[in-house]
Amino acid sequence: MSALSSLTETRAPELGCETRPAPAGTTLVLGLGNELRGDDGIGPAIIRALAARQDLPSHVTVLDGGLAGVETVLLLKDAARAIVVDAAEQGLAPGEWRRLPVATVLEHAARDGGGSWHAAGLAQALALGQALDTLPPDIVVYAVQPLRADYSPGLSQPVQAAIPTLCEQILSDLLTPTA
Amino acid sequence: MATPNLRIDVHHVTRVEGHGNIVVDVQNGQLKQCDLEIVETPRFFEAMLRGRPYGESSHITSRICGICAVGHATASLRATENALGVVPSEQTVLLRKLNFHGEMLDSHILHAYMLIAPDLLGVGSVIPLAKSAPEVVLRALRMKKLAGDLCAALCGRHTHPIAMTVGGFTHFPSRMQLEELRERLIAMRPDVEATVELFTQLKLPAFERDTEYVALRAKGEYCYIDGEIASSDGGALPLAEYRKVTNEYLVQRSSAKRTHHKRESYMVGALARFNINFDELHPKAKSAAAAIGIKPKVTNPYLNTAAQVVEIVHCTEDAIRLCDVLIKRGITWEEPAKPARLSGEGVGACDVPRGTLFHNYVIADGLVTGANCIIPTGQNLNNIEADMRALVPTMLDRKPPEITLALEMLVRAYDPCISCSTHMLDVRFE
Repeated sequence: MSALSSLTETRAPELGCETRPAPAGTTLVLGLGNELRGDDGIGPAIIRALAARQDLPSHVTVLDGGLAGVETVLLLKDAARAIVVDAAEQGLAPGEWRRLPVATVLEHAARDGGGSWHAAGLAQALALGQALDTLPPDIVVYAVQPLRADYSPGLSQPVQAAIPTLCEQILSDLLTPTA
Repeated sequence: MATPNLRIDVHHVTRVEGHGNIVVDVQNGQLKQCDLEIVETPRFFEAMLRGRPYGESSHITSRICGICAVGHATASLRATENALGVVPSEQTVLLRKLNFHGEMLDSHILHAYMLIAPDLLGVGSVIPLAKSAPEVVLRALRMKKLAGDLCAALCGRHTHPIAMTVGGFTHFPSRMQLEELRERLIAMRPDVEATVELFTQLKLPAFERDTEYVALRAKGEYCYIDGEIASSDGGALPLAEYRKVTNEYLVQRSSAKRTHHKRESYMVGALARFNINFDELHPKAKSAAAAIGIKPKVTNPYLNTAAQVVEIVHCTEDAIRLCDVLIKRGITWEEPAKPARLSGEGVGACDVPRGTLFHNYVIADGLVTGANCIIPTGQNLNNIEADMRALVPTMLDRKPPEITLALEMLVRAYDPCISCSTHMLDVRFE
């Protein structure tokens, strides 16, 4: 199953049982989502696609965060720079994505008023990271519009089709020095 | 000055799982209404099980809850195993107990730090707490992550476990994983000690109301899985007779059923376990209880969180012990134990973070034909309301926002999982 495969990528038994955060000072690309919920799996899918590339800069760590929830705070904590990929309902055409500064996501979290900490999402985790003052200084979020996020594995065709261009955009970011 | 008339209407209590309302009506100093309304939609999990192969039950019912997924899976597996005559191996029992500690720690840490501590520190949520005391919140996140990693190592992932199956496991942790978990649990001890220290400083509200406490009990251990159903009012019943304890019935204002046993209500959860099984706690957990200043019988429901903190100590120490035992005996990649038959009825019970959980299945030719799941929060609802009815008259000289906060904190103290508690099906076994 896809969720199990994501575990074996990041929690390979021979490496122990911890989803390890990015090494201090590096750039982290973090994909979030549940591969059993249709297009919610876009985060892990992007991580797989990037991990397979030969041209990924050596200072970059790619990580399938799965359903890290509030613990996303710990995964991001020590990175100098972070790029997060997650599915988000934005009223766009399926497969369209936006590159959001973290401030936009935090505004959304503030407007939304938060939710249950038992089921915290990315916006809540980022709000907590901001309050803790542990967010990387440079962080952007790629929010991908899903077609469906129902109870079945596999990406829809338009979201699957977005993977190559989104990977190119992320690689372009990674090759651009931060301000 | 006394409040002759008071109307409190908290629509969707915050910092609990699911949707519930508090409604209080006082007229001329007389309490007319004091309800905890459960407005969560019924979820019909028991109906979903009907017609499904027995092996799917634990995977379906673990979806009842994202917090107690391991607890539901374990109770489900024990119900199926008891129905079909499956006897799990000693290794399976040890792995299930270790896995269970991971979930208990995860749930208790979130509740104590992120849902309760903000009330005690006078802030509205964990966000201002993170600003004023970041080291406290980071400690909670560190501990919570280890708890989740423990579950992931044993059952594939914490939320909705994969590797737990009827008769055993389909995947096993390596020796290296167990050693790493053991080291990390030992390294977590200072965080656990700091948690106890924090709750020795925080002042939980004073309020006493004696009630009946119900928890699972077994000789020689602080029981979380199997055992018998014990009552603080005396006596114990075998799991198969759980209906004699729960006596479920419906009320108009709630989509969750109510329960009662020897009194009008009873309490399940960490405080009930603490009261019933105190002698079986790890010595360090007993020391933590002494430091916090609690000993059985505790009759202040707000101290449920204090009992959870004591259990954090117990589960950490017992998890280290279980890692030691498993490392010493070595992990065997064994096949799950096989069913002796394909038809039968069985009850499984676990004491999950919020209290005693029952699953009861009827299986015919390998397919589930009837199911009944009784969740801790449903069992606590009557007791919460009885507490509210006792508390409100003592507070009528206070301002309404103060009374409202006291009631919200009371509900939160039970750590209710309201979405789990809604099951409305009238199931008949034939």
